[in-house]
Amino acid sequence: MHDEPNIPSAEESLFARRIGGVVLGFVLFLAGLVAMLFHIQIIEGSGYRDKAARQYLREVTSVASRGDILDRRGRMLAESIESVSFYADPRIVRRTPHPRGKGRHGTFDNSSHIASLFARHLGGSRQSYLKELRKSRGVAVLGRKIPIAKAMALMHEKIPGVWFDREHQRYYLNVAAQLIGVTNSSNHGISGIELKLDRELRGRDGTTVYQRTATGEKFPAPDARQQEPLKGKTVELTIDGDIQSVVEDELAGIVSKYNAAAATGIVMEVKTGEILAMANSPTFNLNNRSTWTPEKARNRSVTDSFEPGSTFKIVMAAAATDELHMKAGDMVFAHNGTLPVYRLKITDHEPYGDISFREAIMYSSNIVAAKIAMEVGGEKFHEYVRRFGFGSKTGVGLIGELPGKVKPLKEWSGTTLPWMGYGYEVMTTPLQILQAYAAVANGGVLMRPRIIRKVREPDGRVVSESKPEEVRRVMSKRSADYLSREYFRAVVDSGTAVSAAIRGISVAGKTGTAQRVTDGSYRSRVYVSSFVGYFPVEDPRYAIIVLVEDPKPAYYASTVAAPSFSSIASRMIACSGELQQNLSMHSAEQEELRSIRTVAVPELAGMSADDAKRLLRWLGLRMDVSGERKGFVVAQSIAPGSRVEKKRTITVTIADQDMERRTM
Amino acid sequence: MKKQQAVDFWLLLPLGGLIVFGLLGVYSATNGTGDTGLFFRQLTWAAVGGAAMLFVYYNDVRFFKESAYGFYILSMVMLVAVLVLGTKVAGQTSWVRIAGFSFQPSEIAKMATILALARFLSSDNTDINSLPHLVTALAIPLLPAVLIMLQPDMGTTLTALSFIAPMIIMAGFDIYILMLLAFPLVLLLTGFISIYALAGMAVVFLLVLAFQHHKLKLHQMVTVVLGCIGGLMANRFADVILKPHQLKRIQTFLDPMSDPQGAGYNVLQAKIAISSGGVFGKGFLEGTQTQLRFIPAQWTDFIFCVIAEEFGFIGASFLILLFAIVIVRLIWAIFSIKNRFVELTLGGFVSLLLVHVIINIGMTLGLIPVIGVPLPFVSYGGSSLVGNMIMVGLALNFFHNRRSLGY
Repeated sequence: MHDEPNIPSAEESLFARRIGGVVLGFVLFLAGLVAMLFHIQIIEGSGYRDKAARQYLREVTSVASRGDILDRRGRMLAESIESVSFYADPRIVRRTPHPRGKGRHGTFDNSSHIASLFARHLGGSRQSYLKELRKSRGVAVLGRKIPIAKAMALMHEKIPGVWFDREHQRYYLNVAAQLIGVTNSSNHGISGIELKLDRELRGRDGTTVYQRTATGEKFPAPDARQQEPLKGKTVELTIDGDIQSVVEDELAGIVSKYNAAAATGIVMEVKTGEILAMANSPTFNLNNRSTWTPEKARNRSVTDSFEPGSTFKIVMAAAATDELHMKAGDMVFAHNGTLPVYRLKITDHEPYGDISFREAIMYSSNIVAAKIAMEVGGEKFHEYVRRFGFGSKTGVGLIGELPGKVKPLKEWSGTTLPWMGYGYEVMTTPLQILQAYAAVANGGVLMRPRIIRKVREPDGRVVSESKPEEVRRVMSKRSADYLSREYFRAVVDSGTAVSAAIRGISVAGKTGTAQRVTDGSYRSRVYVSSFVGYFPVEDPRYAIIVLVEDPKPAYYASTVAAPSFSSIASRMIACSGELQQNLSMHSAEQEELRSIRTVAVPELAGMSADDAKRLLRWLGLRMDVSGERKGFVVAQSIAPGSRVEKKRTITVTIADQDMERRTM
Repeated sequence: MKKQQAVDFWLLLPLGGLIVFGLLGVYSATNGTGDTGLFFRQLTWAAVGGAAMLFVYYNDVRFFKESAYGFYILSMVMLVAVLVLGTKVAGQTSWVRIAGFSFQPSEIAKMATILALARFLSSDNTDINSLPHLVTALAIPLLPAVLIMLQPDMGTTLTALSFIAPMIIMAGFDIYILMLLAFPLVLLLTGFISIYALAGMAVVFLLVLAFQHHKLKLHQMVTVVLGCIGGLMANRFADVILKPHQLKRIQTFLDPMSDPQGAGYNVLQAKIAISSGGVFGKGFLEGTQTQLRFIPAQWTDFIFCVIAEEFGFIGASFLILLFAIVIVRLIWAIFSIKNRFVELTLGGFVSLLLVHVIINIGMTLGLIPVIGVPLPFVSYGGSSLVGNMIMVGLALNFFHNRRSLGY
């Protein structure tokens, strides 16, 4: 083993120094690596950790399904329907990696397979999908707003480069549009109940944290907190969908018949304050946002205030009975049609001399109303105005409600009191007028109007429930009943509102034909024609107001508003067994009512076949289709607005127009 | 005389540590990818390597010296064979398949070359400062380097050349001449990277040469100028000479963020993975970048990222420490064992090991351009593991027989 000659010692030290240097150099280099490691991992570390998290963590928000809005009988007024849209990245599809484990490398074009698959599941031609997948840039859209049931099979397919988004689409029954309001694209309510109860309806969005691999596969992160989306709460309104659609139909009829600017109608349960219908015309299609205009979207019942005119005489009548102890038979002098007050004059539409106080109300004498108001005195009169709830919000809980306007006592001029006696120099909303009459109907107790009945969890558990709420007693029960019996019933039985009568039912009410200030004067002869009434007088249960703005050429409430009150009342009784029971009608009268057990045919044009069918079924009508099966209604066999018996069949013509249903 | 220690535990234990680290890294990197088979394959290779170590350990040192040329010729035959019969993987013909296992002859050829060069240089008749001997000494490693370059595998070629300089210096070659030879080559390579780096490097070289003899001589100037011309040519024709992906790597090295989705992707991902490990790491099998396979070539060239992400600064530093112990222990052996063949063999092996470690970790940390070399004992790859283990076995053999070899 010693055949190797040793290195001469002279060179040994040089050699050792060389090696030593080499060792030192390398060790320094390794130390340098550790220093670099220290720099990257500890000094720069946190920044890169965030970078890493950004790279592999993907937080996906699943939007919660918005809660349903139901009517008092549990029918859907607004619901959320889940739909699915499919997308693809053509670049990935064209270069799909071969499935792992087959030992093959490289990629293949998966376009034709995907096109066939989608054509099979969603319909449409294979070519159209292929064309979409051949796009050189951007995202290919393979299907938009596909109902979830139809999309389910495709959602389970795991195709590289193809993904889907779940969306929630709000579907409305399309009644009470202004009341229910609309949502925006991010599922937030922007008007009406949708806004008012947005927090309850919205639910809670879910978040899923995914880990993304370098190749783009996703799977839920094991350690992250995953949150399932929580469906919004169900809101049950006091609205009765049937009555609502009756009122809407009637209002649409008046607006078109009298060429009116607008009309409002409210139906209220006297004893509970529950609103059964709150309708406005013109209206818009909740399911077709292009029909929306600010003018049509206003809930005039609460957002518009008017000088009410004669309907306001309820305050005068109540004060006269309670404070002046006036009786129906007391004679009053009506100054033969003209009464000068200061430099102005009050006129009646017909001249009356000595008449009973009952007649003064029956024929709506402005002169008598002004005189009585002055007799009551400003302070007392103001107190009655406020007691009836005028000048403050009703508290119905709707967005945009106005309190109306009642001048403070100290701002009153000499004309304020007489003018207020017959309904001028005061602003009220239609709901306030209705509430006041309902108070008289309710034996003098003012009830708070209510529109939201219950809020429930999706599982049915009640979160909150509104109860009938007495605001205050306005007048004694005796006086209230006296007002109903002696004055307001007489108005309908033989006064200005005989046209408001309902066959077989005793009705009380009051007309109001007010000139409206436009451009600062009354000269332009714009009228607001209204009728407010309740029935049956013996035990009042329902109060209704109909208010028509600027009807032409007829404008008297007796001609315009009173008949539609009658029509609304008859029809709502006809279509509701509950009402019939409440009104405890005799069998003979039931028979009479059957003749009016009809429904108005809705406007179907522009709706999809499915939507039209839903609406008709809900109204108790049947649909027959002619033309194509898919597409939109272009014609219907019975004109919109026509009254037909239930179970009639409406034939609709459907055409496949290139008309996308707007959901915004 | 007290019984001398038979096994060098300062070498064996760190080696074991590195192999365990490697197996953990490979397991984690392949976990959940459906490639767990690679872990068991690596485990098998470690066992094969262990057996090979035992064989080497118990054989006579003279056997290796005498068979050095034989091994060398055998490995050259294998290198030629792989070019003719080999399997093409990712554009390279580096593998031969034997009984289901892929085998990379280039990894073994490096070891055989070290042995052959050590034998040649340790011979009494060899005078490294004579031209014919120098040419022979250079030809021995250049032949396999050329064959490997034909595969083409630039990373392995570079490492196969790495031990030439240290070994001929150890054999007594004049450093000054080496400098004159090396400088133009370095300038040529610098030319690929940047014209400014080339200019800077040229100035540094001129200064170094001037200080050597206190004034600049003509042949020195000619050397540097020739190098510069070569560098300029390389710069001008880089796109012709280099392959696009190599060019891209150089660009990316200079500015990794220039192409974060493309060539810079590897560098950036490596950096994200390492730095997100922090001090203690995310834990075994918990590294998000590893498990979600953001790291390129994570069980081969970039395995250091896996260890740095999952075991943190502590773990990665410990890995480097293990390498340092192995390397220092081998250099210590060079000092201790007065036998030229042993010195040269160990010298070559240490150089090879160091170059691998420095290039691999350096590229992972973004210090040098990405060159595909494995991390010895740690990266997945049987040929490299077995080859390196054989060399450690040889070192253990030398240590065991240090007295008889000239302690």
